[in-house]
Amino acid sequence: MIQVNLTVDAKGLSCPMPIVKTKKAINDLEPGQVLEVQATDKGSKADIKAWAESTGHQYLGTIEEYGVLKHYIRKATDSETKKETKFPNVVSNEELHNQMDDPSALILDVREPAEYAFGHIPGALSIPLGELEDRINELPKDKTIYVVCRTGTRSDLAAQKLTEKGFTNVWNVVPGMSQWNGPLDTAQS
Amino acid sequence: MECCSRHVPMERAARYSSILIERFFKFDVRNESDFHDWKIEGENFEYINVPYFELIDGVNSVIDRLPKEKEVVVVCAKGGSATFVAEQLVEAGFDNIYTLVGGMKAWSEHLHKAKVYEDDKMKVYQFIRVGKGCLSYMVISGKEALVVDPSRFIDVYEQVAKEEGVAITHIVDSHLHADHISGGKALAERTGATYYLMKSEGAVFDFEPLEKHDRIDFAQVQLEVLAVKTPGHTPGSVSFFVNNQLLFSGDTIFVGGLGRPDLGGKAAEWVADLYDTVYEKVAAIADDVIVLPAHYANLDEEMSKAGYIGDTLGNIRARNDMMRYKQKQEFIDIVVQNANTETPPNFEDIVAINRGLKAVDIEQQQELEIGPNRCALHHTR
Repeated sequence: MIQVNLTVDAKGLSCPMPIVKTKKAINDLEPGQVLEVQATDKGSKADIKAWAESTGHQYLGTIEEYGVLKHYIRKATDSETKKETKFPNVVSNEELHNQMDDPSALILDVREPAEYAFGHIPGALSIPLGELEDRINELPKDKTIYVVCRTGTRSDLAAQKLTEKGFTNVWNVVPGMSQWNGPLDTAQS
Repeated sequence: MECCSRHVPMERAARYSSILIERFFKFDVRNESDFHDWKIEGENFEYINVPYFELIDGVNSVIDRLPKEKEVVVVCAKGGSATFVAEQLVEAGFDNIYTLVGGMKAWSEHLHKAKVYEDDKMKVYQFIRVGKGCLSYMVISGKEALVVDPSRFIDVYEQVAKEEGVAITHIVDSHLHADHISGGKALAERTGATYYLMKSEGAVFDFEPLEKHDRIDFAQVQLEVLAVKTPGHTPGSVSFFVNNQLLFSGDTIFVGGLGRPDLGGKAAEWVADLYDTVYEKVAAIADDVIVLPAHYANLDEEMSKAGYIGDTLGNIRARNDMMRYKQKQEFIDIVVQNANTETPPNFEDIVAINRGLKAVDIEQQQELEIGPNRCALHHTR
């Protein structure tokens, strides 16, 4: 199960209805939230992907279960396209890649669970930005925490939040998963 | 939403497909990659491609790009999105909008029946798969019918046999097809007909090996079907020579070219076979014999005045220097140099299915067959 904000049922519907319903549903979401579209029309995969590219939404991936295609899309956000980060401690993707095996390091992935499911750094802990405050006790204070998201914006906010809560050894990984060339794990095969 | 778009009936679309291709302005609303992979093609081809999902909020962005005087056919994958877009165009004031019923899927699957030949001994129909360029045939004599290179739409052949009051008793595949799924086995199972195929093509189910037959026997003595081994496109390619008048040439000889010998990964070996086939076996066949191939590349150029794909062997030879005056090494060099690097889509899966090594459901069959045909060498132009 991939956690999402909204699920659209387009099963049994053929083209163009899966996209029409997707487009309608995405208007009800906040930027950054994730939509799951369930469809049985095989053509919907290529079309959803192409539609997401043309509209700027983030197509995360598709899984097939018992003949049902589940497409995952994250609504576009304006803030992420601006490269403004405030948190002073920044490391590059390459620097993180070199530190990955350090036992005193923890990689915290603050993207949505669906984004994490379609590809994350092996061993990274998943806590979406929106849940960070409630789950902050899951994090060890004695480790170096590398916070990663897609482009460095959400991780910037998360790093600030961690510092506020007394974590002292926190680093924002820039740019993050959008440019990650290192090893990846996926929850889906 | 009121539905007022007119539809292009498939039968009409196929019969006048050259007109469809030339007369209509095509508005393809599939996504760009599907469109670039495979589309309705033809001379004087006018089209635009804007995916339907960019037109959900309205068609204003395209109305300036569509002609008002010329008829416009909206094309999509299965028909639904074309109707969706067509309805919006009609609401926007266009009165020249049609949709392709069933979309590219129907276009790919439709068989158009054309009469090729009739005398007091036999009648021959050609089935043109317009969207894919595949040809199959039915030869009727007395109360029996022979089907050559059937597509997987076998109910079409059964329906025609019923209309003609004949039984399908013999089925042949000219070779192991790489571009489409053969209906031979399924049609044989349904009708009880004998299914002939060269054993060397590697099929694993029961069939009658053509290695054992130089001719196929009919109850009617008027029909003589010679199985002429014509290796080249594949080692087990066979042509069928009927009553010294018609040559069902499979993928060995086309109206505008020869069968490509490289799909098996042994181009050098097979091209030498192709040379021997053309310069020994086919050279011995008379000029007035009508060649009926398993594919065509260009409907307009290859369609005869009588409305079928085919030509006399004399005309084909006259147009194709590769079939005359070439020394073996020169022939081989030209073929190897001109080898098409693109293979038919999914040809390895399709070959496995046609050999009986793999079975897939109807939906997967449709998926595998979508796309262009690429079985010919077009070095005549």
